[in-house]
Amino acid sequence: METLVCNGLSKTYGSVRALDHVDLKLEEGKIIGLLGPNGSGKTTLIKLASRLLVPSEGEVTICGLKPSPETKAMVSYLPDRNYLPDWMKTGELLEMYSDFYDDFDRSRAEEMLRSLNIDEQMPLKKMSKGTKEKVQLILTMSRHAKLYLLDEPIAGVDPAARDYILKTIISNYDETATVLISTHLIADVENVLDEAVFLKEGKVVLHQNTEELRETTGKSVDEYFREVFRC
Amino acid sequence: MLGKLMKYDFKAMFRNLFPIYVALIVLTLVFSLMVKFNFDQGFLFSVFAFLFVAALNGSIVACVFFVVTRFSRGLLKNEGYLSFALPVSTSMHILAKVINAVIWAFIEGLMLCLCMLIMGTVMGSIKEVAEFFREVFQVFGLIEKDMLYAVLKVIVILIMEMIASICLIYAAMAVGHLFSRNQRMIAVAFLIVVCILRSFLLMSVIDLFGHSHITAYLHTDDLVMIIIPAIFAALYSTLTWFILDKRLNLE
Repeated sequence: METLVCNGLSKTYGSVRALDHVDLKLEEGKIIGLLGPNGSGKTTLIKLASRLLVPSEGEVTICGLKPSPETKAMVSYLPDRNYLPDWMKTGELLEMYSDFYDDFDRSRAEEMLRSLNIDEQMPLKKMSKGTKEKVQLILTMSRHAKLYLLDEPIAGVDPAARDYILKTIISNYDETATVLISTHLIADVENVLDEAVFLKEGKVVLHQNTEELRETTGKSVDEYFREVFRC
Repeated sequence: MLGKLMKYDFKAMFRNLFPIYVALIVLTLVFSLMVKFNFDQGFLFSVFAFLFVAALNGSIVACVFFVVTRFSRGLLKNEGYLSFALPVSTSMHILAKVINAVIWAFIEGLMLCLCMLIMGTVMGSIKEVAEFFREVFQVFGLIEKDMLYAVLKVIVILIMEMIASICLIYAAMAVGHLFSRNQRMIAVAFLIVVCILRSFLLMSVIDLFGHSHITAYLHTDDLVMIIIPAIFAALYSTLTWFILDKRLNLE
């Protein structure tokens, strides 16, 4: 079954076309890399699927439904920035997620917080940047969502934190769910990806199984990415 | 979901305003006790009098400020990523913000009344406080045939005007959000232009139907005084909804 479908999806900001007639079908049970350089339209695509933006043309559907409060209940979205109120304590955030999302697994979140020695009584503003990002990831991955949209989850964190983040993603998503990871740090995520989508200037230039990609090109996804996006 | 949204908005406002209200009550008590025990001269008294007046005015300014920032931070800045990812409709977000603003305006009013009550009780007597409120009502012509009806009428009209003003401020911020630069300046300009247009519109209606006729109508039919701000509130909210639902572009 297809979790995310884009049909002729376009988005323009004034005269700038951020996404240009994107056709894409993402199936359930896959971890997919949304790969492209800065400004290629990765964040725009994710925002459209999260209903944070409205398409200029075309449509996007989540499990057959147009983005709405109903689809938001099925999508677990991790933005590319600190988006949580920094005055809140981790425990309060757990309560908030439990209140709004029926699929939020509080015990899973508490277990992950314990494993990282993150105090539930500590406000976010007293945490380091890396710890805040881990809290955000824990909240996102503690939902039993149908679709996880992770926008640059490993950008700006140290290599050890990257390993933890990727391990958390792999070990927490449900087998029937789809995980879409947007990043330009291909080498770090390559090993966890089932499929790769290359975005270039708002257009999908490649959507392929990563194993097949390696076999047909004789290169790693990272090497092939560098070839396609060579400046 | 509305109740849950309001719960978290209330919490956010509470943590900002609670310390201010505690300070206001303490300063009211200190100021009143100083007056009662004739410490009403000298540098120390001047300092406390200044602090008391500052807290009194400051609490009103703070209430308005936090109502405005709650909307902009919660929906138009980074927190907007969290808010708009929640399985809640845009109209529900706007409604929660408006109700929250009305609740805090009430709490602000209650705090100011409480300060007056403390001052009256400490400096004078409860009887004098009651007399003060009676005079206030008399000034506004409220002690007429039916006191309760008159008070309720004024309260409802004030609430409707307040809701219209809150919706206008939210609409102005939403309009500012459409632009990538000078968002605050554009929001203020929008606010001023709408206020002028609203006055112009009302004056035109009065001119059209004749001043005496309209004045007589407004006095006889209280419903009009409620419906007019309700219509404006609906217009402003529709604009806010359209921008947040169809034109949202969080940075």
